[in-house]
Amino acid sequence: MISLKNIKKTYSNFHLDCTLNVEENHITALIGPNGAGKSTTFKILLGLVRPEGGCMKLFGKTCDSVTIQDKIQMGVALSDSCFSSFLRIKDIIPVLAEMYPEFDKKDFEAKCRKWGLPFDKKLKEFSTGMKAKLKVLSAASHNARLLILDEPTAGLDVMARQEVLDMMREYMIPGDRSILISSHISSDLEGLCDDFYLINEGKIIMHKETDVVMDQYGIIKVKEEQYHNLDLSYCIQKKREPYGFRLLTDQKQFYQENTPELTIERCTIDEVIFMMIKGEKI
Amino acid sequence: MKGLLIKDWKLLRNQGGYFSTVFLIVILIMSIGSVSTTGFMISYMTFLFSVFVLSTLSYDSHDNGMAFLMSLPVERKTYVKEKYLFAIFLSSGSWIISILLRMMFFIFQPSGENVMEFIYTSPIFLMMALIFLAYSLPIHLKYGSEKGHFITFGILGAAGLGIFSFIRFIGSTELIKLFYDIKNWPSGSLMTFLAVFCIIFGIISYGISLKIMEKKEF
Repeated sequence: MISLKNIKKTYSNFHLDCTLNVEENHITALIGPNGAGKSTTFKILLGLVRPEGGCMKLFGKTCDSVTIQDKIQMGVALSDSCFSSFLRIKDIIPVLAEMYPEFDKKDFEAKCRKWGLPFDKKLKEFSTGMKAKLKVLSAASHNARLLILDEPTAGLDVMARQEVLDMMREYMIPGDRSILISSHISSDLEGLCDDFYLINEGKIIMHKETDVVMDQYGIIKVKEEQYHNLDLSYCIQKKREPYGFRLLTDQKQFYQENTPELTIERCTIDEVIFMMIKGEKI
Repeated sequence: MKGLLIKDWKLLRNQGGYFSTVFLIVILIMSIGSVSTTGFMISYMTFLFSVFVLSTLSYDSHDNGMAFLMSLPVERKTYVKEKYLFAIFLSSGSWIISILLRMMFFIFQPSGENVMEFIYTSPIFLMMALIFLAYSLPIHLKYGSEKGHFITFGILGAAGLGIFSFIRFIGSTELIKLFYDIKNWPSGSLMTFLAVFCIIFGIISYGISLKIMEKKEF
């Protein structure tokens, strides 16, 4: 669905060099700290920003040959951008219906009602959560093959977040669709994504399948003397802590079997981000 | 294109209160005003409705909205084309309505005005509005609304100052002669000249806007 190869973009103190792929029937996440290059990558993908180098393909076509018909196949929700705040939902409906031939008006209206979005209020009067819901609903309203969602759950409460995530799972049912998503709430991604890319300072520093990380990665907490006696063959990052060291392993079973006396914790995506960015390579 | 036109039309309708007030003021002044106010009110109404096109640019870019708009199935070229079309629709529409209003007053409140002269000169107001939009649209696309307003009126101010200095330089009698020369042009020549200028200026403006939009990043 999406292929980015060494896509480059330079701003004054920032250099992006990104390579990533989004396969069909996959939900792929792009994660990383603020300013890592997630939004720039999304903007390059959408043609909002021009890359200075590299190769980009969308639906198998190079970016120069992407047509309006291809854009119709995409649903987009951006973190910092939406329809004009001077419009109302009832104004947006005919616009979407005109732009997307497969816009499902009835379903869109039903979901707006279900999620408590008023049709007659201007968007400038919407709360952050209401805007977030509207963005996701608009993106998924027209039977798109590809969703590009930048921070779609930001500003949503737990219940609304769950509803949005359920909607994404439902969206994937046909089997020929894909989602590229970024989110700061890693618990959302753990239960949703097939794979993720970790980006930091404009570079992809990790690409893994979510299940692999959940099953095989772990955090080991060791004292100084334990650290020096430990077989570090399967540890990939370390970070000094007041008690000794925190280690990130990609083979937690090895340590569970061979060093049962050690504290080995289940690894979350947040832990991976923290260790990969703040830790040192072993 | 149609989707964008619907969006702008909805934005216009959402400002209904403002435009209804303008409309009422125009009707009121036309009903009590003299012959000289007629021309002013037609140009006033045409101009106020026309500049709403610039407001739609401001609404589109508010809160980084252009990024979202350009992620929809819309080409940059189509966006520019839509703005120019909307400008023509809006200017022509408001101009026609103001002319019709004036014609109604001619019928119900005869003032002794020369109807034929009025019909002959009124397209000038439409062309002036279109020339102003053709001048402003590329500036607003390039610099955004806030900066765009300053630059638009800054250039106009500088041009005004230049013309004033020019008049002082050549002397006012020469200028009066120039005006008389224009007035003595053969019938229809001034209108044709303005229409041709309006079209050429519009085409140049559209070309510049396309280039600005193609280069823009959001």
